[in-house]
Amino acid sequence: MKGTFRQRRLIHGSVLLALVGLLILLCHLLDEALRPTAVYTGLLLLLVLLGLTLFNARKKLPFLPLLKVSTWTQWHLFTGFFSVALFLLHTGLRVPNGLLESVLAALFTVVALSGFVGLFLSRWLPSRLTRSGEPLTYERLPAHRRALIEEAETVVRRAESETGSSAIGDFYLATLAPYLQGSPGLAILLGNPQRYERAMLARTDEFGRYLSERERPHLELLRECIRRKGLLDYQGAAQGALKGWLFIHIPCTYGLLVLAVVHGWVALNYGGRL
Amino acid sequence: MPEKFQETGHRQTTYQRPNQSWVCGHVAEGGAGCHLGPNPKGRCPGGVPCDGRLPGECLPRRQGDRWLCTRAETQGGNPCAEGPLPDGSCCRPVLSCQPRPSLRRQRGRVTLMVMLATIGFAVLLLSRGTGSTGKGGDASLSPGALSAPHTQIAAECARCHSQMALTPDRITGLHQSAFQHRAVEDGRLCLACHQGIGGAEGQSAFLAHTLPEAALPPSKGSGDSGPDRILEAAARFVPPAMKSGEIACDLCHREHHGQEGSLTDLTNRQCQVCHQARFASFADGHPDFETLRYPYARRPRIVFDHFSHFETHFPDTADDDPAKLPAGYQTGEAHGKSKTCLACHVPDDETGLMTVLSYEVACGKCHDPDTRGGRRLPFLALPTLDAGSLDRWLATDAPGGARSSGTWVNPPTTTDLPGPMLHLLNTGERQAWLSLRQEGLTLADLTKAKPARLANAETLVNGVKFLLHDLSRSGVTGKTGHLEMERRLEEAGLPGGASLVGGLPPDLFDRFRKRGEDAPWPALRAMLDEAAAARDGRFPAARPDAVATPAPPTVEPDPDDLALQDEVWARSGGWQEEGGTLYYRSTGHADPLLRAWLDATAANASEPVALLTLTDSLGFASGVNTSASGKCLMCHSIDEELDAAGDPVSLVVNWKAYGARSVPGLPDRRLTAFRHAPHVVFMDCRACHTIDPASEDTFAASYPGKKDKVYEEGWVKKADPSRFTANFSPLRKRDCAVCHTPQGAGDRCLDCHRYHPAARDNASLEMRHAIPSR
Repeated sequence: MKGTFRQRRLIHGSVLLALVGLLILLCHLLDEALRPTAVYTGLLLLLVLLGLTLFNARKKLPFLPLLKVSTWTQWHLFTGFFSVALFLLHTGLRVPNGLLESVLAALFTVVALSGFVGLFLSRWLPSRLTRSGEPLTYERLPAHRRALIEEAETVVRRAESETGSSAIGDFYLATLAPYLQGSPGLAILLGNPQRYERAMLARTDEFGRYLSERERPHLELLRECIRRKGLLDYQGAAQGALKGWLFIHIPCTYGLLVLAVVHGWVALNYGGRL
Repeated sequence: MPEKFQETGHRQTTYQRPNQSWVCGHVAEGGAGCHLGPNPKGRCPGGVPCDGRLPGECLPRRQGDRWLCTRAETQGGNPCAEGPLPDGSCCRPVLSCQPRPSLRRQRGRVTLMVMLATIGFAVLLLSRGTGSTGKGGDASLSPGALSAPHTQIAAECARCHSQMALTPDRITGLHQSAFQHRAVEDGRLCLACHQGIGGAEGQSAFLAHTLPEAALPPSKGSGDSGPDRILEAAARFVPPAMKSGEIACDLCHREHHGQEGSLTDLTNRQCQVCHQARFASFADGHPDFETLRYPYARRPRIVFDHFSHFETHFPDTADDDPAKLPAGYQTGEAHGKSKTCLACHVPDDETGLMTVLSYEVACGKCHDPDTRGGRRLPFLALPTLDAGSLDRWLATDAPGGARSSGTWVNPPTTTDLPGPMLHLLNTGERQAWLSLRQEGLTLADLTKAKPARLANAETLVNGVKFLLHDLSRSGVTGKTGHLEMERRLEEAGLPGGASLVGGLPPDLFDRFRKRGEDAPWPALRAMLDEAAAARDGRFPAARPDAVATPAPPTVEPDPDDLALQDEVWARSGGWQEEGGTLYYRSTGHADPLLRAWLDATAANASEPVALLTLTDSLGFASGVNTSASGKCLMCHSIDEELDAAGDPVSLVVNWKAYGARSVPGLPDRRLTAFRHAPHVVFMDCRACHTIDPASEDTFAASYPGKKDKVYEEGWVKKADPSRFTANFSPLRKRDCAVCHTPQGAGDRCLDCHRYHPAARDNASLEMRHAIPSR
């Protein structure tokens, strides 16, 4: 039974909460029994982190029959949530103040937060990308931008040759060219993504009132370029965000693993358990 | 203007492989990438011959002797107009580019850099933290600040952590020594500063409560409530170390939680999880105090009957001399209203006990006459001798030749050898006296003595003569006889010889000794000469016609006799000679000589003569009703000392109200940390301590006294301090539980109990009470 997304989320969330509750109870019992609970939670946390890291390996080995990647993704998500609870239990809700532990906690926090951000982005952006228009390949966006600029310049030159007026050319150089060559970056994802496009279109419309009848068709083509530029900017920002958060999440994960092993060895050694 | 930016069909566009490490440089520059793409090493194939031919938009196919264009649809499809070159190369060569790393590769590079940076950081920390010699360079690896008491050693990791050196064998041996527990080894480092825990050598430092197992009483629950479920569940996870006697310090004391962190903050469950009997809370399940005999586990060391004092003595004193009453005593008021406790008791901050003020402050006004009273102690005396019976046997039946006992001077009243004097004789002579005593015989009446006892009597007689002779040989010096007496007392096993004869005036002893030269004791000189001759084997001539010498009348000494009214010492105490007997009378409270004799004889109580000296001469037979000089034992009780098997081996006199020893078999009170001071501030003593009227008759019976007719049995029972009836009614737990609730004064185990027995225990009170307070 596959069920709906909401149903699956409800079930998985309930199981997660139950596991966390069970873990809290177990830690409480071990604490009351004067057991080194931090050692147990630490070892479990290290194993969980290693398990989380295997997700990356799974994606690189698609030919192996190891369940679907979507299933692994679900496991990765909920294990990630579990690891956050485990981390809080391990630290006892205290902010560490040793150098090694502070860096380790900071790394874990970055990894966890980047994971939350990535989860949010991967839920929020794809549908908006689909609604934004034509799907584009991220690696080809520079080529598309270049082609769009060339198209716009062609329109401008044609307009000048046909109308004999440099108005459009001046407008292009002063206003349109910077817009076509620049990019708002990730800011376009915040708020209305079309605000930059509409602002430029508004300026174009304002400029167009002063054009002749012969010039306006050329301006219309430039307006089309503006719209297509808006799509390129949004696609670039959204896809860049979807790819960029991994530049934080994955490197910090490996750094976290290295320090976690070191921390575990130090804790076991100095704690007299090695 | 095209409607779409790009084609997505497989025939219209090449497939971007994001999983590859390199992308065509033309794509990165905004152009159209070639269909070949960089090789796995990131090199562009453009311009590099492949199979002898330069790569281009297609790789021409040879058909017969012609080369055919194979341009793909994504490159434009259909054969190009120019066609392949004669050597088989494409006429449209691929322009070489500078391949760029793909996003995945870039991400991998960032990951590698982060890993290397992390490894470098870790190596730097480890090298600084462990140090080359394992002493711990600095606290780089510290997981957090130390608690305030340990702040001074924060940079000295080796003070608490052992084997820190990061040597190669430790790294390679990790897989072998996984989870080998060194916590106990590290715990020994704690003992370097925290000395005294678990004994002087820390021999029981890692046992439960740092006490030997024999010192731990079995835990008891009241049985009226079971423990909570969480506690029961947690008890299943108790570390094995708890049961194997390897309870390391860090099991409870967790460091590196910052300066504000507590090293001693444990929950009630954590305290109870190791106990056999567990309970839910103080009010619900904690053993009742009566079950534990808390706090009245043993009788008071100072025999003070609160009931009789408040019901009889204080009222009587109020009529005679009200100035002697304790401050706050209200005549006519019941004890429940009379605030007198603090007149004699003061809370001690260090031990938490309600201590007793010094004798001078609390007791002296009324009891000074007692300490100067009592029957004077005979120290040196010639015993009464039935010379006739002895001489008759010596003349006829004694082995070794006929002889007699020689000269003997009987005192005016029947006198036996004083207890202290017995210890001046040698072992054989004491044994001879003991043999006579065991058959109910004394030197005064030997008519019914068998030959063996008569032999004992001769031994004893000669022993006395030898003693007098030895004491007299030293002449008139500044310490006449003292050195000889001290030597003999040491031989007898009584330590502290000088204190046992302390203050004996030389002239007084000389008067005793010179009786042999002056009237009315000229025969004493003859005795001394006979003693000297006997040492050479020459005995007095036999007297076969001797008859039994009737013993002079026995006079019971007046318990408070004040003979020789013209002698000042009769009231101030000290040494006195009278009628050939040296006496000693107490000089007052804490008389050093009497204290020394009581200590010495009690310590040697396993020796019969010492025990008899203690019971007869020093008054232990009568206990609290003693009439011995000073009446020390009227207030100072005697406890038994037990060996490892629990058998009594000696006695000890309780000079102070508090001592370091606990009663065997009862809980070690050092694990309880009740402090009177914060309670006394706002509570009345009688809220917890109420005198039990039923103790009127039973309290005094706890101590040896007049009612013990057969004292040989009595002292064995009465010397056990755990057999007693307290003056006060048992404390009730519910009285404490009124305030000690979780929301009130708190009901944590650690509020009233310690895990470690107090290092400075009640013995410290003995030192402080040596100085009178107030």
